[in-house]
Formats: sequence, structure tokens, C-alpha cells
Amino acid sequence: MTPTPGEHRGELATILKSWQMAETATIERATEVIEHTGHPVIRLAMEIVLRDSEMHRRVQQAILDGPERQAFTAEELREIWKLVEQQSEAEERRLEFARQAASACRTNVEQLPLTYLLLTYVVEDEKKRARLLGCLENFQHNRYEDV
Amino acid sequence: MNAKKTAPQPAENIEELVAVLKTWQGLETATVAHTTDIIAKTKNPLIQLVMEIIRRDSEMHHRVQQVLLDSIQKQAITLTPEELGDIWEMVEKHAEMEKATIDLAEKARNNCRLFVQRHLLTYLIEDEKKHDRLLGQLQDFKRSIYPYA
Repeated sequence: MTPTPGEHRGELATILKSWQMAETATIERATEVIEHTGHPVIRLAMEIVLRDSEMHRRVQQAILDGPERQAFTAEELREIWKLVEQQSEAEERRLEFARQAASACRTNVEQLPLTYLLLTYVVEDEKKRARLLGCLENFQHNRYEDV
Repeated sequence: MNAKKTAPQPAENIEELVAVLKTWQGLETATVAHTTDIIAKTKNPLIQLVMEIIRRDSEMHHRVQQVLLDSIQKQAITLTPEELGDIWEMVEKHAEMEKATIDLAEKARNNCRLFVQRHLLTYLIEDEKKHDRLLGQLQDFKRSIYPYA
């Protein structure tokens, strides 16, 4: 039997709560690793994970609170849209810099493996943000494309 | 005259990398200011949340770029077996947790039919996968330091 929308929501809430607990455990574990090492790259990698986990908890809570109830109106979006668009253009430029940096580093990857590791992370994060802004753009144009 | 274009030498690439990183840092600073501006101008919690994600990421990117610049201009970063060995068990446990979290995240998205929520869940999944890759790269380092581990 296909689960009802209510059953789906109930299961989603259960998963999100377990996931929030997993994020809390991640924060504790990353803090522990940071305390045990003085190495700048390992500390930085763990701090990235820790800060992201803190933000994930907030996003999970927003999902639990039901963002559809607080969904924005087209008018609200119109008011700030120029600013968001500027942000989106800046995102494109950053992505280009990210690609250039990765390409400049690629020929030296054997000499600079840790540099390459950190650059890969920033490049991936820039791509993620570009997609996030693309999602807001879809709302603005009332395009409800699935992900 | 030989018109054939030669591949850039490592030193040229390093100079280029430094120049790109510095300009990129300037853009991250501008992004922090810009997202702060948007947050102040909207009351909508979703837009505020998305802008805050971007702002926090920009702050972290700026720090990572600085570590990269310092490693090129001041002191190269190395990773010794001792440094890695001391904390490896903890990193491995952490990597296992990340994998379990990704499973949980995929399950959540499969259970979600709502448009906004699915987009937020997709953001979370991408971030979790990014962590998994980051830890995977540290594991690759360990393998190259301890090839038989």
C-alpha cells in the first residue's frame, strides 16, 4: 500500500530528528579531533565539518517547522530580487576564480597535495551555492522543478 | 621563430594561483557584505536562511584561501605520519558517521514531496557528500604515507 502524505510527513520528521542528533554527534567528534591536533589542514577540515553541521541543524529545524507555511510571496521576492541577482552574478565570478585556481594548482598537484585538497573543497562549495541561488531564481519565476 | 605555445612552468602557475586567490578573497569579502545587506532587507526566514548559508560559507572560504596563501608564501604545509597517526582513529569514526548521515539524508529526501523542503534537503545532502569527500581525501593521504595500511 502506498503511504499517505501524513505518513510520509511523520517519517520525514522522525528521520530529521535522528539526523539532527547525528549532527550533534558530528559537532562533538569534530571538536574532539580539533582538540587533539595542531595540524592546520586537519583542524581546518574539522572546523569546516563542525560549522556546516551547526548550519545543517538549523536547516533541519527549518524543514521541521514547515517552510511552506512561511513561503515567500512573489512580491517579497521582487523587493529584494535585484540584490539576489547581483549575488548570483558575483557567484558566477567566484566560480570562475575557483576554476582558475584549481587549474593553476593542477599542474603542481604532486608538490601541493594539501593545497589541492583545500581548493577542491572551496570549488565544490561555490558550485553548491550557485545551485542554491538557482533554486531561489526558480521560485521567482514560479518554476517548480524537482531536484 | 618558434610560435609553439609552451606549457606554463610551475613557478608561473604558483604566481597565477596567488593572484587568483587574492582576487577571489576580495570577492568573498564583498559577498559577506552583500548577503548581510539582503538579510537586513528581508523578513522572510527562507531568504534569510539561504543568505546566511552563503555568508557563513564565504567567511570560511576566506579563511581557507588565507591558509592556502600562507602555505604558498610563508611556510609550506606538510603532513607527517605521526601527526596523522595520533588522530586517525577519530577521523575514521567520523568518516563512518558521515556515511551513515548520507544514508539518512537520502531517506529523508525520498520521504519528502514538498518543493521547498526537497531543495533544502538537496542542499544538506550535497554538503554531507562534500564532507565525505573531504575525509576521503585525508584517507588518501594516509594511504600514500602508509601505503600498506
